[in-house]
Amino acid sequence: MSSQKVLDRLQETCIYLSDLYDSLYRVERTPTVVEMLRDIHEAQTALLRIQEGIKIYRGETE
Amino acid sequence: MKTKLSISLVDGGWLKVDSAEVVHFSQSVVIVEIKALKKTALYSTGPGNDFIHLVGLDTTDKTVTVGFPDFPEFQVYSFMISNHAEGSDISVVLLRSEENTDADYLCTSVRIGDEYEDLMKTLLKETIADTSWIPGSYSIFGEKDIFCKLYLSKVSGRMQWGKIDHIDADSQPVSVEEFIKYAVENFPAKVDYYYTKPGKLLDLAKLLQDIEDHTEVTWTNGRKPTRMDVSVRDLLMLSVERGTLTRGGPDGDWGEGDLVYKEILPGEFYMKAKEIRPKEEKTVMAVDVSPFKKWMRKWLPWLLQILRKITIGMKILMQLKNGMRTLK
Repeated sequence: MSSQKVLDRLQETCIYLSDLYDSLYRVERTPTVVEMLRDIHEAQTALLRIQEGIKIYRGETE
Repeated sequence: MKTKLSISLVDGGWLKVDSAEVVHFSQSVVIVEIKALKKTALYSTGPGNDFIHLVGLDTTDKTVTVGFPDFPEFQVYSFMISNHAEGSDISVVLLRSEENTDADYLCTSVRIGDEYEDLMKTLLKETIADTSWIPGSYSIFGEKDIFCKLYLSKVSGRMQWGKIDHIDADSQPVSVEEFIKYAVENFPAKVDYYYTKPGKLLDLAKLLQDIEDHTEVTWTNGRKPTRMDVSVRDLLMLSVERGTLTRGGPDGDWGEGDLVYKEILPGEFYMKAKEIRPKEEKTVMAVDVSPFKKWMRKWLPWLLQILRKITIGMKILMQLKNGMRTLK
Protein backbone atom coordinates (compact mmCIF):
# COMPACT_ATOMS: atom_id res chain seq x y z
CA MET A 1 0.00 0.00 0.00
CA SER A 2 1.36 3.40 -0.90
CA SER A 3 1.87 6.01 1.74
CA GLN A 4 -0.77 8.13 0.08
CA LYS A 5 -3.31 5.35 0.50
CA VAL A 6 -2.37 5.00 4.13
CA LEU A 7 -2.85 8.71 4.56
CA ASP A 8 -6.25 8.51 2.89
CA ARG A 9 -7.30 5.64 5.13
CA LEU A 10 -6.14 7.51 8.17
CA GLN A 11 -8.08 10.51 7.03
CA GLU A 12 -11.23 8.40 6.59
CA THR A 13 -10.79 6.93 10.04
CA CYS A 14 -10.29 10.40 11.47
CA ILE A 15 -13.55 11.54 9.93
CA TYR A 16 -15.30 8.43 11.19
CA LEU A 17 -13.99 9.00 14.68
CA SER A 18 -14.97 12.62 14.47
CA ASP A 19 -18.57 11.66 13.62
CA LEU A 20 -18.54 9.12 16.38
CA TYR A 21 -17.32 11.72 18.79
CA ASP A 22 -20.01 14.16 17.73
CA SER A 23 -22.75 11.57 18.17
CA LEU A 24 -21.48 10.50 21.51
CA TYR A 25 -21.09 14.06 22.60
CA ARG A 26 -24.85 14.50 22.52
CA VAL A 27 -25.47 11.45 24.67
CA GLU A 28 -25.98 11.79 28.40
CA ARG A 29 -22.62 12.06 30.14
CA THR A 30 -22.14 8.96 32.19
CA PRO A 31 -18.64 8.10 33.34
CA THR A 32 -18.46 5.48 30.59
CA VAL A 33 -19.42 8.00 27.94
CA VAL A 34 -16.85 10.43 29.22
CA GLU A 35 -14.24 7.73 29.10
CA MET A 36 -15.23 6.81 25.59
CA LEU A 37 -15.05 10.43 24.49
CA ARG A 38 -11.60 10.62 25.95
CA ASP A 39 -10.56 7.43 24.18
CA ILE A 40 -11.89 8.65 20.87
CA HIS A 41 -10.07 11.88 21.28
CA GLU A 42 -6.91 10.01 22.10
CA ALA A 43 -7.33 7.79 19.06
CA GLN A 44 -7.88 10.86 16.88
CA THR A 45 -4.74 12.43 18.24
CA ALA A 46 -2.86 9.22 17.57
CA LEU A 47 -4.08 9.13 13.98
CA LEU A 48 -3.10 12.72 13.45
CA ARG A 49 0.33 11.98 14.85
CA ILE A 50 0.74 9.04 12.52
CA GLN A 51 -0.34 11.21 9.59
CA GLU A 52 2.18 13.79 10.64
CA GLY A 53 4.88 11.12 10.87
CA ILE A 54 4.12 9.75 7.43
CA LYS A 55 4.21 13.21 5.94
CA ILE A 56 7.56 13.92 7.55
CA TYR A 57 8.86 10.57 6.36
CA ARG A 58 7.64 11.23 2.83
CA GLY A 59 9.22 14.64 2.84
CA GLU A 60 12.52 13.06 3.76
CA THR A 61 12.47 10.21 1.33
CA GLU A 62 11.19 12.05 -1.70
CA MET B 1 12.60 30.35 54.39
CA LYS B 2 9.22 30.27 52.81
CA THR B 3 7.09 33.30 52.41
CA LYS B 4 3.81 33.36 50.66
CA LEU B 5 3.47 35.95 47.97
CA SER B 6 0.28 37.44 46.82
CA ILE B 7 -0.25 37.44 43.11
CA SER B 8 -1.92 40.24 41.28
CA LEU B 9 -3.88 39.11 38.32
CA VAL B 10 -4.61 41.90 35.97
CA ASP B 11 -7.58 41.93 33.67
CA GLY B 12 -7.66 39.46 30.85
CA GLY B 13 -4.17 38.77 29.83
CA TRP B 14 -2.56 37.31 32.81
CA LEU B 15 -1.40 34.01 33.86
CA LYS B 16 -3.42 32.12 36.37
CA VAL B 17 -1.12 31.26 39.14
CA ASP B 18 -1.80 28.26 41.27
CA SER B 19 0.69 29.14 43.89
CA ALA B 20 3.66 31.33 44.39
CA GLU B 21 6.09 31.60 47.18
CA VAL B 22 9.53 32.72 48.01
CA VAL B 23 11.38 29.54 48.46
CA HIS B 24 14.71 31.03 49.22
CA PHE B 25 15.85 34.39 50.33
CA SER B 26 19.31 35.57 51.21
CA GLN B 27 21.71 38.42 50.58
CA SER B 28 22.53 36.89 47.28
CA VAL B 29 19.32 35.52 45.99
CA VAL B 30 15.60 35.54 46.17
CA ILE B 31 13.94 32.64 44.55
CA VAL B 32 10.30 32.90 43.86
CA GLU B 33 8.61 29.78 42.79
CA ILE B 34 5.41 30.11 40.90
CA LYS B 35 3.34 27.22 39.84
CA ALA B 36 1.26 28.18 36.93
CA LEU B 37 -0.40 25.43 35.07
CA LYS B 38 -2.99 27.41 33.21
CA LYS B 39 -2.59 30.56 31.29
CA THR B 40 -5.43 32.82 30.48
CA ALA B 41 -4.75 35.08 27.55
CA LEU B 42 -2.18 37.07 25.72
CA TYR B 43 -0.24 39.89 27.09
CA SER B 44 2.66 41.70 25.62
CA THR B 45 4.29 44.87 26.65
CA GLY B 46 7.64 46.29 27.42
CA PRO B 47 10.68 46.56 25.22
CA GLY B 48 12.96 44.14 23.54
CA ASN B 49 12.91 40.73 22.05
CA ASP B 50 14.17 38.96 25.05
CA PHE B 51 12.93 35.64 25.97
CA ILE B 52 11.65 36.95 29.22
CA HIS B 53 11.55 40.33 30.72
CA LEU B 54 10.18 42.13 33.63
CA VAL B 55 7.67 44.46 32.18
CA GLY B 56 7.07 46.56 35.17
CA LEU B 57 8.08 47.29 38.68
CA ASP B 58 5.92 49.29 40.97
CA THR B 59 7.90 50.04 44.07
CA THR B 60 5.04 51.68 45.85
CA ASP B 61 2.85 48.74 45.15
CA LYS B 62 5.77 46.33 45.47
CA THR B 63 4.63 44.55 42.42
CA VAL B 64 6.85 42.93 39.89
CA THR B 65 5.37 42.12 36.57
CA VAL B 66 6.86 39.43 34.44
CA GLY B 67 6.16 38.91 30.80
CA PHE B 68 7.26 36.37 28.24
CA PRO B 69 6.09 37.91 25.02
CA ASP B 70 8.38 36.41 22.48
CA PHE B 71 8.30 32.72 23.07
CA PRO B 72 4.69 31.69 23.18
CA GLU B 73 5.52 28.04 23.00
CA PHE B 74 6.92 27.95 26.47
CA GLN B 75 4.97 26.87 29.47
CA VAL B 76 6.08 28.32 32.71
CA TYR B 77 6.12 26.16 35.74
CA SER B 78 8.16 28.29 37.94
CA PHE B 79 10.62 31.04 37.79
CA MET B 80 13.07 32.60 40.06
CA ILE B 81 13.84 36.13 40.88
CA SER B 82 17.41 36.27 41.89
CA ASN B 83 19.71 38.94 42.98
CA HIS B 84 23.13 37.65 42.28
CA ALA B 85 25.37 40.60 42.70
CA GLU B 86 25.29 41.88 46.23
CA GLY B 87 21.81 43.28 46.19
CA SER B 88 22.24 45.18 42.98
CA ASP B 89 20.59 43.40 40.13
CA ILE B 90 17.54 41.28 40.03
CA SER B 91 17.32 38.67 37.41
CA VAL B 92 14.47 36.47 36.48
CA VAL B 93 15.06 32.97 35.41
CA LEU B 94 12.36 31.15 33.64
CA LEU B 95 12.10 27.46 34.09
CA ARG B 96 10.22 25.82 31.35
CA SER B 97 9.03 22.38 30.53
CA GLU B 98 8.95 21.02 27.06
CA GLU B 99 5.95 18.95 27.98
CA ASN B 100 3.56 21.65 26.94
CA THR B 101 4.43 23.50 23.83
CA ASP B 102 1.09 25.11 23.22
CA ALA B 103 1.31 27.78 25.83
CA ASP B 104 0.36 31.28 24.94
CA TYR B 105 2.18 34.24 26.23
CA LEU B 106 2.69 33.95 29.88
CA CYS B 107 2.60 36.79 32.24
CA THR B 108 2.16 37.22 35.86
CA SER B 109 2.53 39.75 38.51
CA VAL B 110 4.20 39.00 41.75
CA ARG B 111 3.68 41.11 44.75
CA ILE B 112 6.88 41.31 46.65
CA GLY B 113 6.79 41.76 50.38
CA ASP B 114 8.29 44.77 52.15
CA GLU B 115 11.41 42.93 53.13
CA TYR B 116 12.39 42.50 49.52
CA GLU B 117 11.91 46.06 48.46
CA ASP B 118 15.58 46.91 48.63
CA LEU B 119 16.38 44.10 46.33
CA MET B 120 14.10 45.42 43.68
CA LYS B 121 16.28 48.32 42.63
CA THR B 122 17.49 47.03 39.35
CA LEU B 123 15.90 44.56 37.07
CA LEU B 124 18.13 42.44 34.97
CA LYS B 125 16.80 40.66 31.96
CA GLU B 126 17.91 37.13 31.38
CA THR B 127 17.50 35.26 28.19
CA ILE B 128 17.44 31.58 27.67
CA ALA B 129 18.91 29.67 24.82
CA ASP B 130 16.97 26.75 23.54
CA THR B 131 17.24 24.04 26.10
CA SER B 132 15.47 20.87 26.90
CA TRP B 133 14.42 20.24 30.37
CA ILE B 134 14.84 16.72 31.44
CA PRO B 135 14.23 14.99 34.74
CA GLY B 136 17.12 15.18 37.13
CA SER B 137 18.97 17.44 39.47
CA TYR B 138 20.00 20.91 38.56
CA SER B 139 22.36 23.19 40.34
CA ILE B 140 21.61 26.84 40.01
CA PHE B 141 24.67 28.95 39.65
CA GLY B 142 24.86 32.64 40.34
CA GLU B 143 27.48 35.01 39.13
CA LYS B 144 29.50 34.70 42.26
CA ASP B 145 28.01 31.85 44.11
CA ILE B 146 26.11 28.67 43.91
CA PHE B 147 22.85 29.11 45.57
CA CYS B 148 20.53 26.23 45.17
CA LYS B 149 19.71 22.91 43.71
CA LEU B 150 16.54 22.02 41.96
CA TYR B 151 15.10 18.72 41.18
CA LEU B 152 13.03 18.16 38.12
CA SER B 153 10.86 15.13 37.91
CA LYS B 154 8.12 13.85 35.74
CA VAL B 155 4.87 13.19 37.54
CA SER B 156 1.89 11.91 35.59
CA GLY B 157 3.43 13.11 32.39
CA ARG B 158 4.05 16.56 33.71
CA MET B 159 7.37 18.06 34.58
CA GLN B 160 7.53 19.29 38.11
CA TRP B 161 10.17 21.10 39.99
CA GLY B 162 10.83 19.65 43.34
CA LYS B 163 12.76 20.34 46.44
CA ILE B 164 15.20 23.15 46.51
CA ASP B 165 18.21 22.74 48.71
CA HIS B 166 20.30 25.65 49.63
CA ILE B 167 23.95 24.85 49.38
CA ASP B 168 25.91 25.18 52.54
CA ALA B 169 26.84 28.80 53.03
CA ASP B 170 30.33 27.78 54.11
CA SER B 171 31.19 26.32 50.77
CA GLN B 172 33.58 28.38 48.70
CA PRO B 173 31.81 29.90 45.75
CA VAL B 174 33.47 30.27 42.41
CA SER B 175 32.63 32.21 39.33
CA VAL B 176 31.89 30.50 36.06
CA GLU B 177 35.21 31.71 34.71
CA GLU B 178 37.08 30.28 37.67
CA PHE B 179 35.29 27.05 37.27
CA ILE B 180 36.05 26.83 33.58
CA LYS B 181 39.70 27.55 34.29
CA TYR B 182 39.74 24.75 36.77
CA ALA B 183 37.97 22.40 34.43
CA VAL B 184 40.30 23.16 31.58
CA GLU B 185 43.37 22.74 33.75
CA ASN B 186 42.19 19.57 35.33
CA PHE B 187 40.51 18.00 32.38
CA PRO B 188 43.11 18.70 29.76
CA ALA B 189 41.32 17.23 26.81
CA LYS B 190 37.64 17.58 26.33
CA VAL B 191 34.38 16.93 28.07
CA ASP B 192 31.72 16.64 25.50
CA TYR B 193 28.89 15.14 27.39
CA TYR B 194 27.00 15.63 30.55
CA TYR B 195 23.44 14.82 30.26
CA THR B 196 21.23 12.48 28.39
CA LYS B 197 18.24 13.45 26.43
CA PRO B 198 14.93 11.65 26.76
CA GLY B 199 14.90 8.65 24.55
CA LYS B 200 18.58 8.08 24.77
CA LEU B 201 20.01 5.50 27.07
CA LEU B 202 22.89 6.51 29.15
CA ASP B 203 25.83 4.21 29.16
CA LEU B 204 26.86 4.83 32.70
CA ALA B 205 29.85 2.54 32.66
CA LYS B 206 31.18 4.32 29.62
CA LEU B 207 30.53 7.69 31.12
CA LEU B 208 32.39 6.81 34.28
CA GLN B 209 35.26 5.48 32.27
CA ASP B 210 35.38 8.63 30.19
CA ILE B 211 35.37 10.75 33.28
CA GLU B 212 38.12 8.63 34.77
CA ASP B 213 40.11 8.96 31.59
CA HIS B 214 39.63 12.73 31.57
CA THR B 215 39.37 12.43 27.88
CA GLU B 216 37.00 15.08 26.74
CA VAL B 217 36.43 18.59 27.99
CA THR B 218 34.93 21.14 25.71
CA TRP B 219 31.96 23.44 25.38
CA THR B 220 29.08 22.81 23.11
CA ASN B 221 29.29 26.19 21.47
CA GLY B 222 33.01 25.78 20.97
CA ARG B 223 33.99 28.77 23.04
CA LYS B 224 34.41 29.75 26.60
CA PRO B 225 31.26 31.04 28.17
CA THR B 226 31.42 34.63 29.27
CA ARG B 227 29.33 36.44 31.79
CA MET B 228 26.84 37.16 29.04
CA ASP B 229 26.36 33.46 28.58
CA VAL B 230 25.32 33.04 32.12
CA SER B 231 21.75 32.59 31.25
CA VAL B 232 19.57 29.77 32.40
CA ARG B 233 21.48 27.20 30.51
CA ASP B 234 24.64 28.31 32.14
CA LEU B 235 22.98 28.76 35.43
CA LEU B 236 21.86 25.20 35.43
CA MET B 237 25.14 23.60 36.01
CA LEU B 238 25.66 19.98 36.05
CA SER B 239 27.45 18.98 39.15
CA VAL B 240 30.20 16.52 38.68
CA GLU B 241 32.19 15.02 41.50
CA ARG B 242 35.51 13.37 41.24
CA GLY B 243 34.95 9.81 42.35
CA THR B 244 31.78 7.88 42.28
CA LEU B 245 28.39 9.05 41.21
CA THR B 246 26.58 10.45 44.16
CA ARG B 247 23.08 10.75 42.88
CA GLY B 248 20.89 9.11 40.36
CA GLY B 249 17.95 10.19 38.33
CA PRO B 250 14.47 10.84 39.67
CA ASP B 251 14.00 7.19 40.48
CA GLY B 252 17.34 6.93 42.19
CA ASP B 253 18.84 5.04 39.34
CA TRP B 254 20.38 6.06 36.10
CA GLY B 255 18.63 5.50 32.89
CA GLU B 256 16.89 7.05 29.99
CA GLY B 257 16.49 10.78 30.27
CA ASP B 258 18.26 11.06 33.55
CA LEU B 259 20.54 13.89 34.25
CA VAL B 260 24.09 13.07 35.03
CA TYR B 261 24.87 14.47 38.38
CA LYS B 262 28.34 14.05 39.57
CA GLU B 263 30.14 16.52 41.75
CA ILE B 264 33.79 17.19 41.19
CA LEU B 265 34.30 19.06 44.38
CA PRO B 266 31.09 19.51 46.29
CA GLY B 267 29.97 23.07 46.52
CA GLU B 268 32.86 24.40 44.51
CA PHE B 269 33.05 23.34 40.95
CA TYR B 270 30.23 22.81 38.64
CA MET B 271 30.24 21.83 35.06
CA LYS B 272 28.00 22.91 32.34
CA ALA B 273 25.24 20.59 31.36
CA LYS B 274 25.77 18.97 28.04
CA GLU B 275 24.60 16.05 26.12
CA ILE B 276 25.96 12.59 26.65
CA ARG B 277 27.30 11.27 23.46
CA PRO B 278 29.25 8.21 22.57
CA LYS B 279 32.96 8.83 22.59
CA GLU B 280 33.31 8.25 18.88
CA GLU B 281 30.93 11.14 18.28
CA LYS B 282 32.91 13.52 20.38
CA THR B 283 33.89 15.78 17.54
CA VAL B 284 30.32 16.23 16.48
CA MET B 285 29.18 19.38 18.18
CA ALA B 286 25.65 19.40 16.90
CA VAL B 287 24.20 16.12 15.80
CA ASP B 288 21.88 16.59 12.88
CA VAL B 289 18.89 14.41 13.59
CA SER B 290 16.37 13.95 10.85
CA PRO B 291 12.88 15.33 11.48
CA PHE B 292 11.44 11.86 11.13
CA LYS B 293 13.79 10.49 13.78
CA LYS B 294 12.85 13.39 15.99
CA TRP B 295 9.22 12.61 15.41
CA MET B 296 9.78 8.92 16.16
CA ARG B 297 11.63 9.74 19.32
CA LYS B 298 8.90 12.04 20.46
CA TRP B 299 5.80 10.10 19.55
CA LEU B 300 6.58 6.45 19.02
CA PRO B 301 6.47 5.41 22.69
CA TRP B 302 3.13 7.14 23.08
CA LEU B 303 1.74 5.64 19.89
CA LEU B 304 2.82 2.19 20.96
CA GLN B 305 1.05 2.71 24.23
CA ILE B 306 -2.15 3.64 22.39
CA LEU B 307 -1.73 0.65 20.11
CA ARG B 308 -1.40 -1.61 23.12
CA LYS B 309 -4.63 -0.20 24.52
CA ILE B 310 -6.41 -0.74 21.24
CA THR B 311 -5.12 -4.32 21.02
CA ILE B 312 -6.34 -5.08 24.51
CA GLY B 313 -9.70 -3.50 23.71
CA MET B 314 -10.05 -5.57 20.57
CA LYS B 315 -9.21 -8.76 22.42
CA ILE B 316 -11.89 -8.00 24.98
CA LEU B 317 -14.40 -7.33 22.20
CA MET B 318 -13.55 -10.63 20.51
CA GLN B 319 -13.98 -12.49 23.76
CA LEU B 320 -17.33 -10.82 24.31
CA LYS B 321 -18.37 -11.78 20.81
CA ASN B 322 -17.34 -15.40 21.37
CA GLY B 323 -19.14 -15.41 24.70
CA MET B 324 -22.31 -14.15 23.08
CA ARG B 325 -22.08 -16.84 20.44
CA THR B 326 -21.67 -19.50 23.09
CA LEU B 327 -24.71 -18.21 24.94
CA LYS B 328 -26.76 -18.35 21.76
